Amino acid sequence: MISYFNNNFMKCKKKVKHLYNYLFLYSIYNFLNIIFILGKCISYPFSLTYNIFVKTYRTLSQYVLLLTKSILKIIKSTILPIIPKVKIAFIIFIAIYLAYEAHCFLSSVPNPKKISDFKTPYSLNIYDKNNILLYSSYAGRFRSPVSLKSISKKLIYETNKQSSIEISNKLSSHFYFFRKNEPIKKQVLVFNFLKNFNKQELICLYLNTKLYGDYAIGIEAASQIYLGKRSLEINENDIKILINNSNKNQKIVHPPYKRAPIAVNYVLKSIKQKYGEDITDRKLDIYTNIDIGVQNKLQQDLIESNEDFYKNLISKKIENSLVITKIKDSENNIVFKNNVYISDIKINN
Amino acid sequence: MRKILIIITLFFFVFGTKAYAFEFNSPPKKIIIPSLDISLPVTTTKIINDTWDVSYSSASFGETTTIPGNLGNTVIFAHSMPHLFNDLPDIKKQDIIHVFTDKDWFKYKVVEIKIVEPEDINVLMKNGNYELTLYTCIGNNWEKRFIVKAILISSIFPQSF
Repeated sequence: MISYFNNNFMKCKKKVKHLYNYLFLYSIYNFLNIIFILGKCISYPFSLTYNIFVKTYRTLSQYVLLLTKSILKIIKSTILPIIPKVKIAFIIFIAIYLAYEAHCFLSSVPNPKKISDFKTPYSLNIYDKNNILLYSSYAGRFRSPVSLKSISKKLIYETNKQSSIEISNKLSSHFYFFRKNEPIKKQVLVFNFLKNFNKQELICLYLNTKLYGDYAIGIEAASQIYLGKRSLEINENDIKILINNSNKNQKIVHPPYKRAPIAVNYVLKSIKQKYGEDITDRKLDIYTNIDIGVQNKLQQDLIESNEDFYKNLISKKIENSLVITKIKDSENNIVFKNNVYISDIKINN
Repeated sequence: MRKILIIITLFFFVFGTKAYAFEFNSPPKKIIIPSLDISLPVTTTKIINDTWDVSYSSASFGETTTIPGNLGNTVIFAHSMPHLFNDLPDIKKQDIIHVFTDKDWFKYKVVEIKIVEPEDINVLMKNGNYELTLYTCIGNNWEKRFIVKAILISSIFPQSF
């Protein structure tokens, strides 16, 4: 018995030792990796200057060929006699410095590669007793990215008429819609889009990030909210309706999904009465005492009861049982707790 | 030193991320068809000897079919008994079916009604839509199958590619 126990114990110890060794090797690997990155950082500006000179020459070679003769003539006649050869070293130094500055600027330009890099507006989230999400508003706008396969071919055909430069121009404006406007970076971003994506990917990104009216970001959300269809089933008439969606007062066919809709609507209504209609534009986490299981059972009763008397009774029962327990700010500051207003809600932009 | 490393690695495993999007994991628990006065509890059934095990006290949800709220075809079936799906053949198009899970409530609209042979498996295929199919026996000696196809009305947005 004892020997059996000992054997098992030894086995366990061996396993643990193996783990120790693995972690030790992993830490060494990480250390070497950091040294590698540091070395790369030191050598990067030099390689970058070389790259910039070569690439600009390659891209502009067509134009350069046309202009070389005239430019050379001008240089020979005017600039060369003025500059003494001693100062050439100084000029090279300035060129390297400028290249470094350019590198700093270019690296500060955002380089979005996925749809998740596009910023969404702040959302108001409502949670229940057990921290289950009941409702989440992207500030009244809803986002639902889909692949090109699930978008109707007519819409893709119509957007395909535009050139890829036009589409990436619009994409950069979509990118800066919820950010600070930086006009120079906005123009540089167009080239980043052209570099990263082919035309089909550009169209997919464009349709998924476009703002349709006040409520929807992206074609799938727009077609579900305004038309009550999926984006595969869109007609030519529907395209016209979606393109002209710029008014604020629009018909909403399908409101976005909520868990425990009556209770959530009541919470939203009471908060809007207290803080005004613009509350959904702020980032807030609202914790309530709603129990989703109980709410679901009440909902079942509401469907089964045909008479209006019972319906009113059940909906009142739902409303009376509600208490907001906590409201948290975007910086996790508690704003409201147990019927005591601690401070007014701050605006975050 | 090694202990500290282990603690640091465990630290990252333990702390989970907070969910900001809906996740639909739970199987259906109740089905209500108001136009036929049907309201039944639903239990999940496993495949035993290559067929689904059908319960006699409730409607049953096929375990391998998709959970409601996700893209795919959810299949709910029951015997054609007076306390189960006996009245189902009276259903009409545009009727509404409610399906409840532990957390969620889904509305479906009836699109298609048909009678098929029991060997016809095409009914259970996925069509790239949020679908619900109800399934009972019909005919002499219950030799054929009665099928109701419905599509999700309540708007659910897929969260990622």
